[in-house]
Amino acid sequence: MSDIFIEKAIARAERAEQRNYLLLFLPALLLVLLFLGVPLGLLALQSFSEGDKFTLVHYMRIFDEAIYWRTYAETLKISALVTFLSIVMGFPIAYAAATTSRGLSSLILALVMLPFWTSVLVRTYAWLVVLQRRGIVNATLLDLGVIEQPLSLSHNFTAVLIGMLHVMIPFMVFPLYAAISKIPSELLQAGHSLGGGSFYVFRRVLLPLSLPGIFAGSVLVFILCLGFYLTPELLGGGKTIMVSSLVQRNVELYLQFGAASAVAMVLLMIVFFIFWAVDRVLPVEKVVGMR
Amino acid sequence: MTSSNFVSVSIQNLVKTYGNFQALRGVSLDIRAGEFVSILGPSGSGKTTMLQIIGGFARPTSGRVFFGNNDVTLLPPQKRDIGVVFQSYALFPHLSVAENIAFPLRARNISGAECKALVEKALDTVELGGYGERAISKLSGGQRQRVALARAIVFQPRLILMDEPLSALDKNLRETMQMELRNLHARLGATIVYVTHDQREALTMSDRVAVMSNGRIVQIDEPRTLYSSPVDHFVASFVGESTLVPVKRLGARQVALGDVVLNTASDVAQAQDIFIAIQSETLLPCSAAETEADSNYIQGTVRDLVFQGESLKASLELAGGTEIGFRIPSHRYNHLTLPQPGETVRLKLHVEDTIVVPANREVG
Repeated sequence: MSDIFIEKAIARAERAEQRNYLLLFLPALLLVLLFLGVPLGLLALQSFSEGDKFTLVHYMRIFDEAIYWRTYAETLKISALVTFLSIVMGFPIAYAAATTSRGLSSLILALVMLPFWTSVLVRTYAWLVVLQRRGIVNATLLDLGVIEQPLSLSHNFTAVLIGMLHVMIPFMVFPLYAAISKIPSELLQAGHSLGGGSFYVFRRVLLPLSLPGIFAGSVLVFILCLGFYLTPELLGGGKTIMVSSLVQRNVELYLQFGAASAVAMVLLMIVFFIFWAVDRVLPVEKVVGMR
Repeated sequence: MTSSNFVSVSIQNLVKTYGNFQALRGVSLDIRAGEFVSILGPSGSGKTTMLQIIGGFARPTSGRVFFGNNDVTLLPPQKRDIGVVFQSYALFPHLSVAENIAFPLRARNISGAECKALVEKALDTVELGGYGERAISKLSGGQRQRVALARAIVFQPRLILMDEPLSALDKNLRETMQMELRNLHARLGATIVYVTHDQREALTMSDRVAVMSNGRIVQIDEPRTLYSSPVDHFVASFVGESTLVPVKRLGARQVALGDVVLNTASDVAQAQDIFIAIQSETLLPCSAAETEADSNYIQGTVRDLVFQGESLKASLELAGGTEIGFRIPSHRYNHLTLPQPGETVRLKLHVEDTIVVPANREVG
């Protein structure tokens, strides 16, 4: 008799606990629904309508006109390149921060974080100053006699790449830092003691065990890159157009909200597709939960 | 693993300082090829620094390390050919058992059938045949230990270095592994340097034990010698389970513990502070009338008696108020005549077991 009573009481207590968890979860859920779910739904609706009628015309135009396809390809190319370069450039920084003494490590991370306190706009204009025809880089190289003609570093693809990399590297360094600091230093010592040279230990121990960080950082950087607007607009000199610029032009120049929505929706679909494909090849849970 | 690459190791005058802290203060040690030497010491004694320097993970401030006739002081770890077994095993979590063991072989450009055969052989040596495809995370502590060992011996190293490899295992498994390591050492003829803070482990497996304290080797001897003739009170307290009691020197082979006169088998040091190191298992209860020429007799009141499984631990209060510990084996014969707390008992101590040591001034 009393056994049944206590079982019911335990079950009740567990239900109450679950209810409390749900309650804690609720504010975040509402926020996402209201400010992400609803606007995204509206955007999707808008992309299928012309006036008040349902239409596919906006999507048709994207498929028909080459400029759209070229822009998507260009956006993906830049994003992939920036992601790759930020791994290459971010890894040594993250490795240094993860393996050096505490004081130096904090200093490195503070320096990486420093640009966050400056607006992207200011930083982009600063790059313009640095990279332009008579900028510091060209002036120095000319003075040193390394080059005879100024390099064209601004208003082109290179400039966009440099500007975006500068903004993105912190987003790569932090996940990498977290992953590398979790690798016990004994594993690297073991690798060396077993006869592995620096590159061998890097390739067979450090790199595979950093994969969760590389993966997390790549996702972050890649997605943020796809939506870049300011940097390519200012540094690209109109030659390097990314998808966000297409959206902006449709809205501001042509007042085509439907077309702009369709462009954005296609980008979203491309992102979903890429992640689905990556997940098929390289299951996220496996990479992240490897240890 | 029949053709042995194992070499002798010579450590000469190693000094290592970290800022103001002297981790090693001039350590020299010669290890014969095929010898099993344990470095025993409490944490902070410098034993881990020693291991780091022998392994090439840290450079000494001064001094040299030789493997055979080769000066390896400046060689990085990957050029030293040492099989290191780490305390945490340091197995690569993303590789299978076989891939872990093949790691040092692939680093030496050995691959294909030869690599596979060597891995199989190493797995058999540590009795893990058939475990090659397992993931590291699916292994028990003891199995991980064996994989780490297999990985350390598979490439025929010049030396095996072990850093408290058994400390993460439970007691029974630890004792089994101690015996297995002993056998493995005998079979491979390996030169092994084994770092530990567990005296029992060191005594069980080693040909010689080096006791470290404060960045110095205080004593290096065979286990029996270390046990029966510690050089000072630090070694006496660290090896075995002993009570150290200050005594006064009466003659060349005679000391006074309070009012009790004790004879020793060897000459007592002419030092200012001397102690008797009473190992708890050397005391034996005896009758009040007994008097043997080669025994010392101590009398006191039993204060405490604790059952600890294989033995009972008792503490005895002597006339001056000094307390010493002793052990009684836990079998029925003893249980019939067990001294009870409050009782006065007389204990005998063989003169050969009456160990008198000078103080180690550095330890205090």
